[in-house]
Amino acid sequence: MASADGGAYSFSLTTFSPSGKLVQIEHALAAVSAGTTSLGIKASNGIVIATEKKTSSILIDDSMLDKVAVVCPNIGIVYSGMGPDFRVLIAKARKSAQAYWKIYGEYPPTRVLTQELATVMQQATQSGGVRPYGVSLLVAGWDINRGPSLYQVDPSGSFWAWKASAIGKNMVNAKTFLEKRYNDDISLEDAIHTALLTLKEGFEGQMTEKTIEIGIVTVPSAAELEEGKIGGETGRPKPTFRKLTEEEVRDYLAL
Amino acid sequence: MSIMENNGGSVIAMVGKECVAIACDLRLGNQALGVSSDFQKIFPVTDRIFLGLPGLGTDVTTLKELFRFRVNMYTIKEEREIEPETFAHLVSSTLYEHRFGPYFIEPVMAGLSKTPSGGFKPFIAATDLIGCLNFAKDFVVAGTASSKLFGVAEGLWEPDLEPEDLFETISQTIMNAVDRDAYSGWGCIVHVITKDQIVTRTLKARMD
Amino acid sequence: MARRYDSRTTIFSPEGRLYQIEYAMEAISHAGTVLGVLAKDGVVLAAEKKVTGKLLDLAGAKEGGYGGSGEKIFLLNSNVIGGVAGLTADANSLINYARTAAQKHLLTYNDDIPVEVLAQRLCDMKQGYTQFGGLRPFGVSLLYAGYDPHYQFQLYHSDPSGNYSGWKATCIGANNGTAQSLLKQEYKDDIEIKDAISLVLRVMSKTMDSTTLGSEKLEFAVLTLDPETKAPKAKIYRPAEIDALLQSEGLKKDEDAEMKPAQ
Repeated sequence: MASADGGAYSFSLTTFSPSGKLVQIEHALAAVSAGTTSLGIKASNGIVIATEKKTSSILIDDSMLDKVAVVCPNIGIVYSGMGPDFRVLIAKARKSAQAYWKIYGEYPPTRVLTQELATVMQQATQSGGVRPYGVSLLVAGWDINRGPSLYQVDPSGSFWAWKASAIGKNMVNAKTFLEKRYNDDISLEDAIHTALLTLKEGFEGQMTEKTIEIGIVTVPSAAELEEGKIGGETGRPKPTFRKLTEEEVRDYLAL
Repeated sequence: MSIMENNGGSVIAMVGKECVAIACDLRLGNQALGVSSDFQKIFPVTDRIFLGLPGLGTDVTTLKELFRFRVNMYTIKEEREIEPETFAHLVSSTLYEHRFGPYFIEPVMAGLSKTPSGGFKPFIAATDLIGCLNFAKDFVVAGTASSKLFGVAEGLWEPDLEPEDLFETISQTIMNAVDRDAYSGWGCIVHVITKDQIVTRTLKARMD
Repeated sequence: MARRYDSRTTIFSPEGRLYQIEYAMEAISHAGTVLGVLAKDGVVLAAEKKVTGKLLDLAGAKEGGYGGSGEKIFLLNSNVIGGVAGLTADANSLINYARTAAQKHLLTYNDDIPVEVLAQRLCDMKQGYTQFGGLRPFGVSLLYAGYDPHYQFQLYHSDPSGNYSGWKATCIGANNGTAQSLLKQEYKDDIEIKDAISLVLRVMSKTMDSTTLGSEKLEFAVLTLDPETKAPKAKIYRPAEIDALLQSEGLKKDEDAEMKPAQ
């Protein structure tokens, strides 16, 4: 459709409906709601993000599936919605984190990276010929300025900071559950258990280390901070975000 | 004649005990001809960071404005003040953006960085004109009198100087160094940064 | 094709209407109210936050920053505060543009950007989206509260079409009709900042649908001159400061019913 005016691809696919709604965004949100449930809980000494991992066949090598992604040593993201869209966004997030590192010699604060991703997602609601991203994200990270922080980004490109939130198929129930369970001085260990309990509600099939993925943010101790942001020998910052191994997930499930 | 020496001028920064100092001369010349004796080369970046820009006069102004732009954008987007280490990297990457057509400036930075426990740690750094960082623990120099500044500073600087002694040391260093350089001099300005105040003093110098 | 002229912005309908702009305005009429009042010695902005939820993290930054919870009211430059109503994501993009435009002005002219120039820069972009490129317009209206040495304190409003206008007191978002008529009744020329603050809060408390009034529902900002330096001083209130202010004005309404969880 190559023509002088750019053809059909130069038009916004997301346009206002008479009631003032952007229908494409609402449809994208519907795609998110059809996706597997993910949640995040901010604890007093860290954050946990977790999700259900579903495979269409037992023949799929599920160790290759990554739904919780490490963006940079201090930030991780989990999603609900369309896997391929998430993969593309993660690539952009990682690139953005490295670009930030190239300028400032350190990794971006959680809010700055979230803002950056939100911009990418907003642009997909206004640019010519593209549909919005079909994912909601939960971004968890630690930085010196704000400490541990948890953000949710929606297909519209808007984002909020949460103490705890859930996205995907079971989000309404999960959120109600979290509202009942949450208190401000919950510890990371308790938060991980609460996360698993929340996922259990409406979980289809068996909850095992193969069907659950967990990522955690830890807060560095005062001594670790004083030692400096460069981690000893390697010259790399000590990670504050990491994914739990299958063994660790199994141990949490056993409790 | 190198373009780095066209307008003359020098900057030095020194570390003291819980304080830092940064000083520059005030000369702007056109080769050997003196043009101005009120050309400041050091600019405040935040309440705790100063940036010295010795080199080509026109680039001094341009870079001052460019860093104001970038630091303002950083402050408003990140909702925090930039730390000296971070700012040093920003200076470095900004200069390297122009690797093959550089600004003719060798920046010098001095500031106090916040420690996780809420204290302050002295910080100085300098880069060459394409942004190669030099984090020194004692002092950094740049400009047309840099070789002389190096020599005098090697002789006068000692660790853990109190603010007043650091002022004396950096003043003696820059005054004696610029007197031995035809392209620097015509007065000096010294800033001493401590955790609760910034002291700025102007020094009179030989006018030849 | 019943909706032939309403999903593309670059086309007039036979009656000469641009439907996408009308629809975008419709989106704004459901958004949280933003209210601004111009006083003799300052400008006041207040905004209603629509996104609420028990588990929202309202803590914000540990220190530093410029205050506010960053949902409705933003610092655009040292001399301009912006209040937004409409799609938050679109608003973020406009705020980013405004901040960059302001800094570019400072870089070019070594002076803070005049308020009208900034409003105009944003409106030129908004207008562009209604004419070429085939893209949808921004679903955002803004209020700009600013100061520049030539025109002193100013309050501007801009809408998705790229229209802008200067105001003594105005309001955008939900219930803006009610607020406008209240402002018409109560606004006096030569109002001082102190009275403007209580006028804004009074009107806000009357127009907001919610039974509670506190920092979880309200953002608030004031632009004045620093008495010593005479430079513009933008103060975006922190949550605790908003609660204290409402308390002192006798307008604080604590939650009696359970807060609704976010949709």
